[in-house]
Amino acid sequence: MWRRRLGRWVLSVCLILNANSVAASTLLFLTEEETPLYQAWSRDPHRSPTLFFTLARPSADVTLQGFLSLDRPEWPPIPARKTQTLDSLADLCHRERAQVVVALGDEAARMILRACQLPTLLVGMTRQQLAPLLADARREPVSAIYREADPSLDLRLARALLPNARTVGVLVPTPEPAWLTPLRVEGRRLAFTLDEIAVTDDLDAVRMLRPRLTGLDAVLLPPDVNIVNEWSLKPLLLMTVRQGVPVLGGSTARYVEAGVLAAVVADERQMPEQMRALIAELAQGRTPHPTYPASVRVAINRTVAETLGVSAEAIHRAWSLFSTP
Amino acid sequence: MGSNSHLGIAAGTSGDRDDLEPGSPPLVLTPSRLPQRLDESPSTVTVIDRALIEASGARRLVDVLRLVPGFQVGYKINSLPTAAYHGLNDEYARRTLLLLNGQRIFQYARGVIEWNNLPVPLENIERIEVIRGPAAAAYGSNALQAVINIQTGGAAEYAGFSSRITSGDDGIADGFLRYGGRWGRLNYAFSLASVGDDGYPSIHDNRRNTNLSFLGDIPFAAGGELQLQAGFARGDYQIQDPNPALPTNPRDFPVTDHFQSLRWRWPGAANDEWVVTLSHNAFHYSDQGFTNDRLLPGIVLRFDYDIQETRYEADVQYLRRFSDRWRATAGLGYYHEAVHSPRYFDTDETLDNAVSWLAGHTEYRIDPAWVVNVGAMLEHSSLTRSWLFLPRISVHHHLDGRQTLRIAYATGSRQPTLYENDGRAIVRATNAPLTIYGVIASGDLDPEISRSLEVGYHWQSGRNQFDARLFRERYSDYIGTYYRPAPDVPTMLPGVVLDFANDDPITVRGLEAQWDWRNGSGTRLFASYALTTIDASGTRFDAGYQDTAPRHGLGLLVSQKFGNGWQASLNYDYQSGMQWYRDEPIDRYHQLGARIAKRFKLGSTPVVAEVIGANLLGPIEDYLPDQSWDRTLFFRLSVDY
Repeated sequence: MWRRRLGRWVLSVCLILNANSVAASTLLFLTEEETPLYQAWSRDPHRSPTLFFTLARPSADVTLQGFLSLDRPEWPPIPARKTQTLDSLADLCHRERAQVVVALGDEAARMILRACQLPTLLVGMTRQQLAPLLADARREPVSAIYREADPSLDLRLARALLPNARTVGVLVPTPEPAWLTPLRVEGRRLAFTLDEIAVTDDLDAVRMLRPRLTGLDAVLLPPDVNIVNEWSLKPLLLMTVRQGVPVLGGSTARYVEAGVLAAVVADERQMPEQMRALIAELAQGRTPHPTYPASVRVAINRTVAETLGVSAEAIHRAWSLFSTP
Repeated sequence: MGSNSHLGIAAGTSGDRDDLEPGSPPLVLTPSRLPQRLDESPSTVTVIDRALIEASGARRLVDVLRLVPGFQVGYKINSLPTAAYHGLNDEYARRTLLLLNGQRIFQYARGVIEWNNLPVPLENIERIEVIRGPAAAAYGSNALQAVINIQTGGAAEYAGFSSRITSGDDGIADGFLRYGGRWGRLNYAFSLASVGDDGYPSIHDNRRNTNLSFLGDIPFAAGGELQLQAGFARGDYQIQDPNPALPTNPRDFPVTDHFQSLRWRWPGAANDEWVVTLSHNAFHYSDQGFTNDRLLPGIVLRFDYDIQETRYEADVQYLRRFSDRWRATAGLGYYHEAVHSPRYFDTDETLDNAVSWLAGHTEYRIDPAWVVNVGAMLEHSSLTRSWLFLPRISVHHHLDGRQTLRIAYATGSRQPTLYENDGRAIVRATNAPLTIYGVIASGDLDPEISRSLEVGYHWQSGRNQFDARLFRERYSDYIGTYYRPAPDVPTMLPGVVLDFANDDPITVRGLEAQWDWRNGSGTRLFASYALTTIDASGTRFDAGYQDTAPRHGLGLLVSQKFGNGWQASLNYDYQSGMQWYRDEPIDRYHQLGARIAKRFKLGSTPVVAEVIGANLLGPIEDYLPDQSWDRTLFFRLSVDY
């Protein structure tokens, strides 16, 4: 027992000292789309991909892709291999004896949890999306890194960007999400009055926000795709930009690109390090708590900021608030 | 041109509905049909947003225009308010083009804008862009003095129930209901509004305007969307001629307006977009008039004012961004207008006019500090059988990130209305073969043309803006009225009939400034000033042109948000003395309005209660002397479910 404890301790120290150190000997990655995070792992110089594959799911009209990765770089490098087409993910999990599976995105997560009885790390999903998956009882450890940053950080960002703001409207999904309690605490600390607008879906969000806008100094979008999504974001942004009410939040920087003033979002460049630590724990049979991204950054839409008259000083204040050394 | 992200924020590119791009600096959509920065627009634009409309306390859209520098608003009769820019107009302000989401709803045959009876409720109007100055290069006929583009929100923005009731002095009783939702891919919003009041004191001029409107859009997965609009409006009016000497009887009549449009937007693959629009509107002024047996012994005269108009319109636009420096749009269109009115045209035939146009506009950024706009329209009207070439050019120089100087040359045009060209207004006897003429148009009128040169300065910081311009507008072939002898026919006035003819040039010069300012503490200030002088010294007709615009006009609106949902606003406007075209002079007036609003919740339901006062400094006369609007106080309650 003491040897195992010592081993874990040594492993943790190694992870801290060497961010690129190896977390598990064989990893299985699965994704719906080639995100930068997926590409970073597939080209990790400290690992060797041994098999690339695709997996079609005609029933869902989705094609997943993935690869197996060993924890040591081959030298000379393993020649590029043709991508195989799999019939069954379960066969692959069983045959290749992966230690930990990493699923990027919703479809990949559902597929893995159904097909593979292996320790699993889920990445690229919001806390709201992950909740039902994590609630399903399963013998093997499952952990996750939420796609969004802690919504409370968006309030800190709002204070930095909008020093005169008093009332912040918050679209609150029902049932009440777990992030709301810490958000209230942070709101009190930052002297905000939170106008909690309970909404059931995207249509409700548009319906409920419109009459409230005149009384708001800012709006905080929840990291919930049932509330803020492809359908609702356009009317939400149009009605707020018309009335000059800044909107913050959303689960990724793409919301900011689309017209949200600013958000605190996961710093995906730093994500592999946090993943390695969790992978190491999963490989050891532990189940680390799902968590928000450890490294965050500020995304600001400068044209929206200019439109709303947000000062350069406030933008600088926001940058420095979340800048990492 | 807007970016298309996976989140679906696809910005519109044409100057129609309020498709402003959320991630952009303040843009205007109307001047060139390209979304452009306000300080790079080829025309001077006043933007009135929803917050200003609310803060003004206005119940009628036309009253909001009092804020716009250089505009005059007046009510000769309660059923027919008018708004004009730089004078030269009567109650039929036919030198201003009105657009609803980029589509014309102007009534052509008589040159009327039915301000009371627009097929869209005030509550659905999110933004009004007013081009101050001619803009025929983009819109052709009737964009002679100004273009007013009313922009509603998208259907998706109106999800849920909204309601509003208003009640107060002068018989004010308004109601509004709106419901929006989603059905499959279709976003929709239905609105029903009814607005009514007793008009001028002691005149038979009550009115009630009711409209039902529909907004819909169907976004396509591959990008683009189909937008649908429809509106039906009915005005129930009382009318009594303000001149008691005329042989008219007080009476009641309805006016109906229909409007339907279908717009298909299709983004291309090369930073481009196609927009195809089909629209139709119809108008029926159902004033059946009255009979009179006292004017001529033994003769019963039938006065009938019924008139029907329809317009079908189609246009295609192509927009493209060739590079970060160069954008362009080109389009072609056709509309057909028809009118039927035996009383105004002395025929049972339907008269018509067909207009075809071809237009283009390009914006080129020479370097970060210099921008050039060039555009033109080629237009043909079957009525005048003439081709018009209507160019516009502007050069903008950014002094720094906030200040811009501009110089702009633009042309405007107005085809004569069918009434001006072919009108034969008559009264027939019902018991004898007698026709009496009031108007006989000689025809062969040339289009009015305006040429405008302006030098402007624009300052912009975030949402705060200041704009000032010096301008000179020269109107050629102004279509004026005169009485000419008509010895061969019975006439309403002894021996003469009213006719129309092109007059000699009129020059309007002036200075205009507007300031829109807000801070982070809920204060909003909108101020405007206009100095206007009209030189008509060489005109043929002595019509008092030089007095048709006030020399000074001032508008001011201040709004402040307080804590706990309270908000207050004051609006003031001043106008020096003037005289509407061929009417009596009116004195200068000061008008003060105030509004106090409180937002609160009934359970979880948001409610807004407002008290609004108008004409608080005393009665004002805005069209005719001795016909004034009294102080008015009314209450408004808005509830959203």
